[in-house]
Amino acid sequence: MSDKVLEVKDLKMHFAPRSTIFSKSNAPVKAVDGVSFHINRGETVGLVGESGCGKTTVGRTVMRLYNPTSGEIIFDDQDISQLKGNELKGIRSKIQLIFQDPYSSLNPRHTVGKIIEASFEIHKINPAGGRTAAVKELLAKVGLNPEHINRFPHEFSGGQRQRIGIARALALQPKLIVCDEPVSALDVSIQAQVVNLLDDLQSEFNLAYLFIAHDLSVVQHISDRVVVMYLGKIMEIATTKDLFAKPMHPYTKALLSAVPIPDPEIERKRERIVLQGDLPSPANPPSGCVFSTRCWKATEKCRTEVPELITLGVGNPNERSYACHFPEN
Amino acid sequence: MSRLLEVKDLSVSFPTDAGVVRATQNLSFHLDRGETLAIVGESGSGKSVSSMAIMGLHNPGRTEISGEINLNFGENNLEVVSAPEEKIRAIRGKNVAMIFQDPMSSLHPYYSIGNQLTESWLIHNGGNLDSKTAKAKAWERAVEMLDLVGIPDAGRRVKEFPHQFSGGMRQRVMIALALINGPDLLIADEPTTALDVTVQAQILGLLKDMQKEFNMGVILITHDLGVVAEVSDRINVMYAGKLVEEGTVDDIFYRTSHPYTQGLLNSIPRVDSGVAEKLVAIPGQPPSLIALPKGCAFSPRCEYVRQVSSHDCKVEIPDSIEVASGHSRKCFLKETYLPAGKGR
Amino acid sequence: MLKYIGKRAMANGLILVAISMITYLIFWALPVNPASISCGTHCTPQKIAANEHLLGLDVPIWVQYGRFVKGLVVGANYADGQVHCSAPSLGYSVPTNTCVTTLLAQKFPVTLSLAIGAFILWMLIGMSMGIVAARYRGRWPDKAANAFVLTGTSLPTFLLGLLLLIGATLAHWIDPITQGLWVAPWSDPIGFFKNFIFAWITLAITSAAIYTRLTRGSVIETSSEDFIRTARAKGVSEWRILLKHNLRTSLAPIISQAGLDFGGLLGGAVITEKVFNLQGLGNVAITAVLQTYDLPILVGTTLIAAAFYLVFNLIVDVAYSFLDPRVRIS
Repeated sequence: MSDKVLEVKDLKMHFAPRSTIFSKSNAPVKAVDGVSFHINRGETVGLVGESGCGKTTVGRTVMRLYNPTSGEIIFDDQDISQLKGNELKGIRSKIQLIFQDPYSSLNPRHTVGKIIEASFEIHKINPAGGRTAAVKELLAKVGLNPEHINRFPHEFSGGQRQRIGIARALALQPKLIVCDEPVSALDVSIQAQVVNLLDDLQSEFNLAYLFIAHDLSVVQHISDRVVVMYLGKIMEIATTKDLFAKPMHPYTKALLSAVPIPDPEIERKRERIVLQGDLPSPANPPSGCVFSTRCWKATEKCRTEVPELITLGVGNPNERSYACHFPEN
Repeated sequence: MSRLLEVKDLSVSFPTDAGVVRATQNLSFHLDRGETLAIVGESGSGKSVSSMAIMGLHNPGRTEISGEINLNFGENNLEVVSAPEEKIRAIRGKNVAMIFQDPMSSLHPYYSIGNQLTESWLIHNGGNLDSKTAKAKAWERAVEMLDLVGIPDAGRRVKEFPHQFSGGMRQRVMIALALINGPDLLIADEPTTALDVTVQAQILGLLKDMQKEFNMGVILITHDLGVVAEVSDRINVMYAGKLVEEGTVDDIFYRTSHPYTQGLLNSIPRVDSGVAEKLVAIPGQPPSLIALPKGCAFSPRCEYVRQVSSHDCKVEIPDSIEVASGHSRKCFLKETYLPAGKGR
Repeated sequence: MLKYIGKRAMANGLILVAISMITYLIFWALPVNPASISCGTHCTPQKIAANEHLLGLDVPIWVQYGRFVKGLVVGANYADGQVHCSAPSLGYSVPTNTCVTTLLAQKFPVTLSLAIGAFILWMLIGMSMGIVAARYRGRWPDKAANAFVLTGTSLPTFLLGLLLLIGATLAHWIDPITQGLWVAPWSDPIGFFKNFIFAWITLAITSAAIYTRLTRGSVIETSSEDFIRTARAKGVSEWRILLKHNLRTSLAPIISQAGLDFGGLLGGAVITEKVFNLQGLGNVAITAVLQTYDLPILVGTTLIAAAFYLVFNLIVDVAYSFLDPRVRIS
């Protein structure tokens, strides 16, 4: 058994745009265009980038909610990128998802008990001691009152609903949980509760998280390593410490510099790199480096030659990768 | 000289079938020209409700409102709570303007940007100009505004529709819309929450520039303390419909005086903190505004409750106490300032 | 856009072909022989056979259908070659002794007048009541509109029609003998109006009630949109918000419903036409079904109704693109 719970190799997910009644279909949207990274067992990998960078698509493709255009998704030493039917269903119980909006992802007509039990039902699992007992145990694990098993989602607050979502994801004892913006819909004080809960559960069950979020401070807090994406491609991968202290890719640097710090003294002194313009269309990405249109360091080379993802210190714990012709530091 | 905005004892509540929702209670604060006041709090803390009341945008049939909201624009003054609808409408969009969280849904999908911008200008300036010249002037002004907020090729883009703009550009359009009549007061309700960080930085910069350009007072409503630290002069911290602490940005961040403010500051992770320690979360949930706890609304979640000997936090409601000039809180605690927690 | 319309028109043509085939099949599957209905009391098998030949029913169904299509394209001879109907011929009606196309062309102005008048009436009443109800939500205009909606939707058309007919006759507003005889609006506007006004009201009330509810709901739904709040923050007046900002968005579901309803109405309004003795398509169709068992008329009216339905469906889709810039071609 390898140390890696998940390894993604050169993953591509292109969407052919729906031809609407008024227009013919255009070029495919390259939502994910050649992405490679891995997640070790029990590790949290943060996946960050602006909206439209493809981070959510990566999460969904890894879960096989989409059929990837090409590339490999190796989960537990098995390529799951082409699995179908029952084989896929078997894998799905081992990779779970936590959604952004805890309310719309819970069926309002079902009790909490029924929602969580559905996981057992679908995968025909009968835990020792019975399903109800197992559900109660899960509720207790995520910090909810097990006696509330017969309540409906609307009787819970936002943070509590997210806990229900987490309990549901935990039911099948997954090895990997894809967390898609799990705390961005929650209030600050509740956010911290949920982040701490995810931390605790990770150490208890040796879970691996793919933590997709736009909030870099949350990502920094929870992740061991971070993957930075821009326009369907990986810009940089590094340990959290290295990435936040010494970003190598100009995009990472700009992203970090844009995050406001809740400290007025620091904010007053801070020099900020403000990126000009908007994200280009993923249907028609710039030639060469995709970031070149907004990069202050871009040269002719950047606009014509696609930078490869270069990995430094392969195999050692501080291994880091970047895709840039003129890296920082 | 009187203040641009002076709110006194403002209470807003909504009677519902389940009971009366006390959205804000006895709110008092003020704002001067050129100043940025941040109103911080979680959802349900009453921060948006109070700003809607300043705009006179609450539904009169379904809202109970008391207190005073005094606006002072030099020659024309207005007390919003008692003013008739027509008078409030005359200042809305002219002296007081607002931008919202989601620029996509806040712009009308069926009308061009120019149509929406010119409407705002014509309502307040079109009166004494005959329609054709007024319209031409309004379009000129619309292009000028788009140019000012940094939309390239404004002359062409003014004819486009909201869906043809990106998220950041749409928020720029919203800002142009709000500022087209050169308002004295701008209320920005979570203006960057729906935007990416890189775009957020652009928009916050733009707001600062515009504040200087128009010498406006700005009320920034947000839950993001990072944004607050970056742009505000003074801060109001709200909890369960009440102003629990107010002071300058440095008062709030470095001389924190209310346990809730302290809890908020401790629960946010920071990109510059280096090591990942456990976050200090505030336990429990914010209270229901229909059934507020007795005494201090924060007391069920407050870790200092037991340290207060002179008063019973769970029975008595604390009044506002000035801990220093311009810095006040609603708390019975003996200590004036609370230590920064772990992680800071 | 033109290309899109062309595509849709072609698809609609195919649907019409399918509908005509299905109508033929249903008619053929019914255990009634039209030939024996027109045969009278002293019927012999020979007479039936002769009638079948006259009606063109003595050949297999696909040959019948083939003749129908041929008639549509180039015209055809009917009743053993005694009658010729020129293209586009929808067939020949033996009981009424006319070409179906000619017959329907005669009846169509009646149906069209009925439909247009009723449509205008119900849209005016329905939309204005809906708008007012939404504007004064929860107050007395809303409650009054709600009472109207309940009454209008629960009142059976035939009952309302009969009551109006009896009342108007007793009050000498209309003459029961000449009621329903076609007079063109340009030759006798008052007579035309008298002929139709009560039929319009009858037909419009139920729909007006439905459109009141539809408009009210749509306007209220739109009023919680963020862009309405923006308009208010700009200082736009409530009525202007309603009529400019709200209504244009609220119009989408109303237009799609109205297009289909109007299209359907052009196929004939059976009950109203019957009650007010209006000789429109609905009246013709119901006679053909219940009394004479007249296949060519049935196929003709069915196809016309279906064609209008499809055409208005297309018009609605095109209208949408004018309403909403997001679906407009760029």
